[in-house]
Amino acid sequence: MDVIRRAKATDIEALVRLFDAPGGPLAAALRELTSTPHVTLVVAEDDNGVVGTAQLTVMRGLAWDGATRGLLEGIRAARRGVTSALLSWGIDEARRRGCSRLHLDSGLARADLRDFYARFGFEHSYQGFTRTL
Amino acid sequence: MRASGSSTAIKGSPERCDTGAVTDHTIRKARREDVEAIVHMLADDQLGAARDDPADLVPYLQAFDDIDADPNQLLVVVVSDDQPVGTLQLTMIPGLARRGALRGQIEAVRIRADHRGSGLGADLLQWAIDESRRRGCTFVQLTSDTSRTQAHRFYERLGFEPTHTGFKLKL
Repeated sequence: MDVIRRAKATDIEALVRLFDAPGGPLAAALRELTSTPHVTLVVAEDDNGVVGTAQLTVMRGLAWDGATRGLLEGIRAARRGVTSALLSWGIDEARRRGCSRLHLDSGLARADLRDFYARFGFEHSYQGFTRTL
Repeated sequence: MRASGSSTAIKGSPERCDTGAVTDHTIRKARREDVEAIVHMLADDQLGAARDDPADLVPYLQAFDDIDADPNQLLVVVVSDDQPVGTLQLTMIPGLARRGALRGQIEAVRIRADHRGSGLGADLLQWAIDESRRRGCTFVQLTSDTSRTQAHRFYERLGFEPTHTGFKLKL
């Protein structure tokens, strides 16, 4: 991994590839992401170009003494080593921004990923729920 | 996001009130003077008791000011008889997943002990769902501690499906 940097508009093609999604809606979301202050979207780049992405959202809440916490998500990576680099970036960046906790979501069926996240110190502690509108 | 358009008066349905009382309640944006009542609700909880202390409100007021200034974050209270008796926090989060969907994240849901079982919690969640839809979200999400099995059943009754696993790292 050569560099992890903030995503920009010209990364759209690589992001379309990583998310396997249509370009129009993704380009609109990319504009929203890069202009929302509490969100940081990054891409990982090596000699082959963009090979991964992650999103860190920093939020304040009243619970836990008004704690600031981070949510690391939207991780897509061409290989496991890139995922590691993005997780390390997320942990460092969340700490730098004063988060006392970092949350990470994973699909229900990904037992392999759970073990992988545990190596970075993440504990399984929540059940995630979704309701489609 | 400002209070205008986000404050909705909802009539409590008598048939949903276990207490037999017919209560009117209003859901509105939280104000600075609500913070103490909100912190009491956070602390009066099996998990919150160990970590939230209403004796020193300073950090909570600072957090309130941050949330209040952020158009993507909304802290609301349910008010009954001029008192906050329920709360939740709703955050709009853009993302690239699900074709670049905007979503509403619901957190810190609490109903004061003497108002549980009266349908307030369901009304509050429904309010968050409606507000998220109004702001263009295509889904809402929440995480709940694995030990809160009663809350999990409550969310499933409201149409939420268990879809993911949440991990936490203390920094």
